[in-house]
Parts: sequence; C-alpha cells; structure tokens
Amino acid sequence: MDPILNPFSSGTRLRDMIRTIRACKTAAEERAAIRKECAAIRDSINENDPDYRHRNLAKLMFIHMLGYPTHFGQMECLKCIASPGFPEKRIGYLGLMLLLDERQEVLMLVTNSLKQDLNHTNQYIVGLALCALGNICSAEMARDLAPEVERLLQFRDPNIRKKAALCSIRIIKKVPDLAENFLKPATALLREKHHGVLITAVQLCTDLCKVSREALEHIRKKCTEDLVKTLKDLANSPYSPEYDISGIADPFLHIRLLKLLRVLGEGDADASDSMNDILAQVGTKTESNKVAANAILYECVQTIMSIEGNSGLRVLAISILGKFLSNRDNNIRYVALNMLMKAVTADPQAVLRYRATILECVKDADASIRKRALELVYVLVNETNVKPLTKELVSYLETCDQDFKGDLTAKICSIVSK
Amino acid sequence: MIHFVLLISRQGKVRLTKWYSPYTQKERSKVIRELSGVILTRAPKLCNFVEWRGYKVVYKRYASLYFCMCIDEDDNELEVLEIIHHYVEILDRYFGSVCELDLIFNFHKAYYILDELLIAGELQESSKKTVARLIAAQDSLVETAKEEASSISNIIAQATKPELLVLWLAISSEETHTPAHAGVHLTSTGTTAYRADNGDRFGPAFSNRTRVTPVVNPSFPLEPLRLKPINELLEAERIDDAELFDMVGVVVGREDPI
Repeated sequence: MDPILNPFSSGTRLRDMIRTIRACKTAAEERAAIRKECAAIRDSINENDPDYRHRNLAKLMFIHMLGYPTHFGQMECLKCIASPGFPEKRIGYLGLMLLLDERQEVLMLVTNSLKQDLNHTNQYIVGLALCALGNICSAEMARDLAPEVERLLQFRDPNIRKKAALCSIRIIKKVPDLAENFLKPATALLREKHHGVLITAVQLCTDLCKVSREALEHIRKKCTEDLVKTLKDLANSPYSPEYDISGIADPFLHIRLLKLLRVLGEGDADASDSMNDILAQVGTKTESNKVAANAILYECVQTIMSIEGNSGLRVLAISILGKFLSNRDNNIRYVALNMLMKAVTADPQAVLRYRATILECVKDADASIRKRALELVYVLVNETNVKPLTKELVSYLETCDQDFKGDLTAKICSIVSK
Repeated sequence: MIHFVLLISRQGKVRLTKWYSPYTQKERSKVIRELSGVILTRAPKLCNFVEWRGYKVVYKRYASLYFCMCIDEDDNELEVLEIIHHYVEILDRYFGSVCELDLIFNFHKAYYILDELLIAGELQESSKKTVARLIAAQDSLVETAKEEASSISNIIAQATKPELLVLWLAISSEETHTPAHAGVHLTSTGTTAYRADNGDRFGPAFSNRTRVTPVVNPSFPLEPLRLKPINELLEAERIDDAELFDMVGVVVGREDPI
C-alpha cells in the first residue's frame, strides 16, 4: 500500500479502494477496511464537495454489492441526479436503481427530478430517466409520470421510443387503470421498422392484452393481420449481419411476435385461422440445431398448442417436440418434456406415440430430465398401457441411482393405485 | 419477465445484481445465498434450467462467472439463454475479451450496458451494434464533460485529481544506462515519473496493460524524457542529431475519473 495514496480517503480512486479491499485476507480484515472506507465517505458527504460525489457513489455501490449497509448514501443518489451534468446523472440513476427499492419513501423525492429529466433536451438524459422509472417506479410515481412517458412513445428518436415502451409496461402493471391511455400509441408503434422499437412495442401490446380485456379485443381486431405480415416478412427477410443469430434474422423479434399472436389467437377462431400459414411456415422452415432456432420452434409450438384447433398444425407441433426429445442437447429435451406435459391434456394419443423416447428420458443422466419424464409417464398411464409401462419402470428401478429410487418407487405405487 | 439478473463467481462472490421485481434488501440477500447454493453445486453436464420457488432460473457459466436470470414459469427458457449470450457478447466487444477482473473494476460499466439491454425485465434491443453505439455515445459525453471540467479553473486542483492520459515511453541506451522503462503521466502541471509494476528495467511492454505507481524522487533523471507529440516530430524542419529517439509513445488508454 503506497503511503502517499491513502486508500481510505475520498481522494482515492475507485479502483484503488477495490484493490485494497480485495487484498484483505480475512472477513474481519475486510470488515475493518469497509468500516474505514465508509467513515471516509461519510466525512466526504458531510463536506458536501460536489467533485467527489460521483466517486463516493461508485464506491458506495461497490460496498453495497459486497453486502454491507449503505443507507447513508441514499441522499447522494438524489444529489447526483439533481446535478446538471450527464456523468453525475448517469451514476446517480444507477445508484438509485441499485441502492434503493420501490418501497422506500426516499424514492418519492426523485419524482420531480425525473419529471424534469423526462423533458430534457439531451436525449441521453431522457433515456436515463426512462430506464430508472421503468425499473423501479412505485404505483404513485407511475401515476404521476405516465403522461410524460406516453408522450415519449412518439419521440423522434427510436432509442427513446423503445425505452418509453418498456417503461410503459411497468406503468400499466403498477396501475392497470392507465392501460387504455397507452393503447393507441402502442399499436401505432407496431408499424415501425426499427427492430428495437418493434420488440418493445410487441412486448407492450402483449402486456396490455394481459392487463385489459378491451385492449385485447382492440388489438386482436385491428392488428392481427399486420402482425402476421410482419412475422412473415421477418421470416423471409434476407441476411442482415446486424440482427443475424445462428443464421436467423432477429430470433428475439420472431419469438415476441409468436408470443403476441398466441395471446391474440387464444379463444378466437378467426384470429387463429389467420395465423395458421405463418405458424406452419415457421414450424417447418426453421432449420439449424442452434439454441436460437430451437427457441423459436419452442415458442411456435407453444403458440400452436394454445390457439384454436387446427389438427394439422398440432401434429406438426407434437412432431417438433418428438424431435426435441431425441436431441443431444439436454436443454432441448428438458423443454420438450415440459411442453409435452401441457400437450397431454389436449391430445394424449399424439403424445403416446413418443412413449418409447419418453421412457428413455426416465433413464436420462440429468436428474431434472428424469424427474420430468417420470411425471409425464405418470400422466400418460391408462388402462391399456399400465402393464407394459409399469414393467419398464420396475426394471429400471433395479439399475437406477439411489436418490432416484425413492421417487420412482413412489410413482410406481401411485400408478398401481390409480 | 425477467425478475432479476445475478452474476456470481465460482466462489460465490456477487459481481452484479439487478432486480426488476420488488425485493427488499433482506430478501435480496436471502435470494442470493439460496440461489448461489443451488447453482454452484450443480454438476457441469446438467441442463441450464433450475426450478426454484415457483420460478425458473436460467444460468450459464462463462469462464469463472455464472450468469443467472430468473424468469416466470411460462417464459421461454431457450430464449433467455440467448439473451444471456447476447449480453456476454456485448460485454466482450466492449471490454475486448472480457474477463472477471474487468467486471469487478468496471462494474458500473457492466450495469450501464445491462441497462441498454433490459428495462422492466424485458429485452430492449436485439442489435449488438446499436447497444455498442449507444454506450459509446454516452461514454463520450462523459469524456467531454471531464475535459471541460479540467479547464483553467481546475489546474490548481489537478495535482490531486485523476489523470487523463497515460503515455508509455521507453528509452534505452547502452551507453548511458539510463533506466529503460518508464511511464510518464501527463497532467497540465507537468510530468511525473512512474515505474512500471512488473519491474522490468529494459524493454517496453506495449502489448501489456501495466499498472503504474507514482515514484517520489525518481533516481533516474527526467531530463532525458523529452517528450514530443508525434506530429511535432513528423513536421519538424530540423531534427537535432544529439537527441536520442528510441521509441514513440502510444496512448494506451484513457482512465475513468472515478
């Protein structure tokens, strides 16, 4: 430790403090170091020197992450946020999000700063405010600032529009009554080309549907066709390096669109009809064995299983799951088993076709997969297949892991008593 | 939605936490302890999903760090794996082959990047390029503010304030045996000498980032370290033959003021 630079004075840089703390060899040493540092920060706070505020806050955040209490620093966040400069606001808002949570009353004091920053001429400051609001606002703050956020949904910069869209999600979750105010601007955003705005707008519409019956009906009526077209264009779009992941254009957008279509198609035959083609296309044309492609297929299957009946599509869905079950990647096998559990209620016969593969999964190396598979077998048991199925299970009982034996035996007993 | 994001080291140290649902400070500590216990003890070949308290936690290990995201039961786990990877790739591009130390000493930057990726527990941007561009724009706003702050009125205080540039320069001379390895710290009040921590006496280490510590009363003369910016050298009408040029310095990086 250099005698000239005392790591426990506010003149010290953040990284020097971090290094000093990391050099502590015991928990007691660390506690002593932290105590010393907090004392120095407290003194610096009392001196009210604006130059060190920025650095003090960063140090406090580091100390907080180590698990030590840092309540005395909360007001520093507010002072930083109230500063005119961008660097102070940036760290102030970060401190706010890290050191406070929505239940603390201190949070209310930020509302005024937030309002000013939401109207700032510097769009990056507007962005900071939207981010903070979207991450931790309380219901009261949501109510106060909803009109600003609503206005920002039509801001000239797409970076702000997309942040406003996500911020709106938090607002409508906190105050569902406000949902109808966001309906029109949200649906307008669905026509945009910017992927960031589209992703967030689609998510906003999905959440609007969940929160408000009127929103669901409105979006279903007015937007389903356009959404189907957007997905179609995306699925057919040429290679774009910016959005390509594993050979697919923007899988995230694919997935969000599929999710929204699911919400719109559920319980409505017309809406479901209009999406059949694109679902078939995505289900059959999505190639590649990478995670991104499988994530899309997984979402597609979920949508098919939730919307109104098309037996052809359902057969396709179950066959996708069947392929998943034989996939070498255990993540894929795991999600397939999950989905099959849900599919069983709708179409047990279709699932039964994969009985053999499911039984293989009961013997899987991965414990969570074994557990899932066993549950699935239990659900699949009926009078005709109880004998062969139980026979398989009992023979596996002889060779399986000690800890699994308990579960397996219990399940076999429940099957027999069924 | 994503309820929280957790980055923990193999030893269970927390490197980053972000909460999108209401958890009190006490609840957060409890969650971290519990989840760390569950995830750090999982065998390597198991799948990346854990069921926990009615939620699903998706985790992936990158070198010495576990990236964890807690989602709802009906969310798409495979997609969240991609979101984690998206974040890691952006961090990698920003820090240039990111490692755990980068995230420790620059945790605030890791948060800034996460804030461009997720808000309210939902994905904000699918283009890594856009995220990188937005972060760069904000970083340069911070730079500009710093430069303005270090104008005339702050010169007096500069002596105790953080530096802007670290310029590496090496001089070696077999005849004079002047120490070869010196870093020079430029401030508006003059030059201060530093000696590299790796203890090398000769030879520059341009490919390594080395920490410097200030040297009081350096035993080597500062006079030979007659620094010139490169354009002065290139445009000089006459170069003094008595001057020894061994190396041109390279700005290796700008340092964060905090």
